[in-house]
Amino acid sequence: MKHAVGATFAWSLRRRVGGARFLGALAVSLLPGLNIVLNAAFGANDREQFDIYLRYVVPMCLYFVTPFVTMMTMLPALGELYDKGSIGYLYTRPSQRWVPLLGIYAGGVTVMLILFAAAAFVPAAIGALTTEAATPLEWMRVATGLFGALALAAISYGAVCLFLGVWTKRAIMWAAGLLVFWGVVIGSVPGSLRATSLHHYLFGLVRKWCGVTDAWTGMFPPVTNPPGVIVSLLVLLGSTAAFFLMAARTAERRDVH
Amino acid sequence: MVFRAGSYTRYEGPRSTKPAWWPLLTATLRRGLRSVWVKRITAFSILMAFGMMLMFYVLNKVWPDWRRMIEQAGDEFGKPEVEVDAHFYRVLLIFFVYPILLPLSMIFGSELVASDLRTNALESYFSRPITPLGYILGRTLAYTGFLLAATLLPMLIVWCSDVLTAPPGHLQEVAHVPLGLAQALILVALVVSLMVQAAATFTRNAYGANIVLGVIFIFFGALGAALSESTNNESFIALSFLTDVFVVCSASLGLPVDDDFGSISVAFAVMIGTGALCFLYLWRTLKRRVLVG
Amino acid sequence: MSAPVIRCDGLCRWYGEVQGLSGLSLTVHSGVVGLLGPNGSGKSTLMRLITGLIQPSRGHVEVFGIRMDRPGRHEVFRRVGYAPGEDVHFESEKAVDFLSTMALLGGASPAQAAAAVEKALVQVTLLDRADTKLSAMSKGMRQRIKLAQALLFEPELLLLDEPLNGMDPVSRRATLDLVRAWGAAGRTVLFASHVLHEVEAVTDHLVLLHRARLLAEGKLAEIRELVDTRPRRVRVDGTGLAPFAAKALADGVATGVTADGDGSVQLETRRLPELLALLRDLGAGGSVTGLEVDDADLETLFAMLMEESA
Repeated sequence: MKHAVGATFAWSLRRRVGGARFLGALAVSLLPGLNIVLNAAFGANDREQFDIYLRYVVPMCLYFVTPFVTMMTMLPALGELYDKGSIGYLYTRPSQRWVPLLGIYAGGVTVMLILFAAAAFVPAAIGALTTEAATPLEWMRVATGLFGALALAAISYGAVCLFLGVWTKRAIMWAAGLLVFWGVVIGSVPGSLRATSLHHYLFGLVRKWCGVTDAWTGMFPPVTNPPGVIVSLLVLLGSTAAFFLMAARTAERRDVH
Repeated sequence: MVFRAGSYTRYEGPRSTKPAWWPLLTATLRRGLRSVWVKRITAFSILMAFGMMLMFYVLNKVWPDWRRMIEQAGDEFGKPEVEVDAHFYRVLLIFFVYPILLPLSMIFGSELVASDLRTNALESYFSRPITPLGYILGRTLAYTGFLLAATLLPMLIVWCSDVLTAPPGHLQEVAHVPLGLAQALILVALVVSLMVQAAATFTRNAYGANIVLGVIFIFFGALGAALSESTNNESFIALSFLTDVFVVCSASLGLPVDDDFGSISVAFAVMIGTGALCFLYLWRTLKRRVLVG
Repeated sequence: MSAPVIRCDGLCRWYGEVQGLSGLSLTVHSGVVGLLGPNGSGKSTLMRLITGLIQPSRGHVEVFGIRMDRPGRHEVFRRVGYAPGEDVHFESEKAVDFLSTMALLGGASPAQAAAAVEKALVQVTLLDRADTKLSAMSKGMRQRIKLAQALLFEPELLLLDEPLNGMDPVSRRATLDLVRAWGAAGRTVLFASHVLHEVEAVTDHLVLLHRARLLAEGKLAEIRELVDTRPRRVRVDGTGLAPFAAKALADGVATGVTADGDGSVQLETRRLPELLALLRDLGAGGSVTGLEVDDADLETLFAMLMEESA
């Protein structure tokens, strides 16, 4: 089985890395870093760069980079296989259908980790090079904390997109609704519904690991009572497992035309 | 069997005087009319317009002074701009553009181009006497027409009912509105249709096109606001396409725009520049025939 | 008789209101079996049901005794190779990478996969194009790659859905030879096509589908016997055939006779063995130089069957 998963993982990676789509996703990942770059260009004072990273780059990565990069990476790969019927080549092998799905998922998550690493570390590197108020260690700590949260976002939302890609032909619309509306919007609006959104737990992790307390979130108020690290990890990893299991079950049942 | 080419005679009968892209325009219109979602959204917006027409009529009968009373209420609450004039139409315009025009453009437009690429229909089109410019023109005119039917037409219905039910003197306040609406909506619809076609051409599938558009509409909206705040430079707000749409609509209706929304000329430049870039990309890609085969 | 390789029992499949397959019951044993039918007759639907890619609306299908609508059906693919009708859309992959992925998905180790890939490429004569991207290959080459991925690890059952589409004449002949060889080696091949002479070239065991229903199944000659609403048409070339034709008419063995100017006669009969016996008893008064039962070819037969079912 490990060879089977490895084969689809390698195929998935070959397909996604390089090319216009990867570059487009990389560009999206680096957009929040424009805050750091433009501030360096306009000559803001040293400490502001660090505050700008915490106040703008971190939330923008969470609220915008995460859903769009996840959709750009996970959805087209699976959607095109089903649309063209090519998924039949993967499903007519002596392995259960979740095996190639696991390889495709792992490949997608790996690509997302590369992109999120760029989103977290490139602006931090530029900031560290252009200020002296914060030490490189502080920059590294914050960037690593952000990357950790984004990695968990990749794993959990990646599983959501995998399930959507297997379940429905209109995966893009469902993904926009689940990742952007349910994830970002519901996860930010005060109230009990917030606990149902994965973003609520991602923000809890970011608060702990990056020390973000008052982040700019545009339209939404900052989270005042985020969940703890253990609860967040359990929810994120648990939802990953749940969505992957749902994807596996759905793959067994969905017809391939 | 050998084909005797010598017996071939060139067609000398009557030819159509319509341009080569005209059948493409009509085919696109027919395709839109077959789309369930296009019909639903267009019907919804037109029904809303008729609903407002009915509302104007009823208000005029039951409460003839309602316009003056709304203005007085606005003055009392410190909002002197609350009037049933161009400000009202700006609110209505934003209501029609954001939740109707943008989703409609994504639902219809990305699949329109993506399906041509998927089925290699361009090979058929360019084996006819149609130029890349003609192809873009036919598609864009039809597509823009659909967007305007769902936005400009209902708004003109609302304007007509407003003017017909208003007291004398109101017409002078809103006489410039139809031209302003037309200017704003034609520009927005045209730019959006070119953007969608360019995105679908770039990504070659509807999934990718809709994601790219989501990034432009949503992500860039936030990015523009964040950059303008973090750099204390309002010009960056022009990165937000949705803000540019608001500024263009306001300016077309002759309304002032707060400094927070950036410069009017920059917003127009971004809109027109984006449309031009998308058009050039489409034209160049079609000319090079990279999409055929 | 050996256990059936494929067994379909009352198989039905609807796509909304459109019937893809209706009440199909079929048994396939080893050898080459031709699955014939015009476009839209249900061939691809049947293939997808056999491979479990779609589920039946009613009935079930078993392959090597394994139900294809139940969990665990993936095990059957250790013994089955499937070349679908869809094009191979892994455009950015090289042929060798695509086939290696397929082989590794079969549970092979990298070394086993490499050996299997090389063997499959040799079988489809594309070893020299192993490093070519699929997007750079012609449709015919991609069809051969499809066949190659089905041939990996030499399955006992080959399911081929329109395998010759887009192939040049040389590749077609090579593929048909491969199919014949596979059948002769005791394996099972289910070969779907709408081109009748292609199927005739490899087998006389047929399954005929039309409008989602099973028209007929069996050997060509057996199927012909089923068509009893039409008389057989027999052409006899020779001399002195008039007495024979007259006797055939008089005895009611032939229902119609047409004499061609060159001495040959065409007879219509529902009692072919008796007609042939009469011909044997022609005697010294005449001679036979040619005999043709001109409605035993597949195309004519299929047209007759479709007319009957309409």
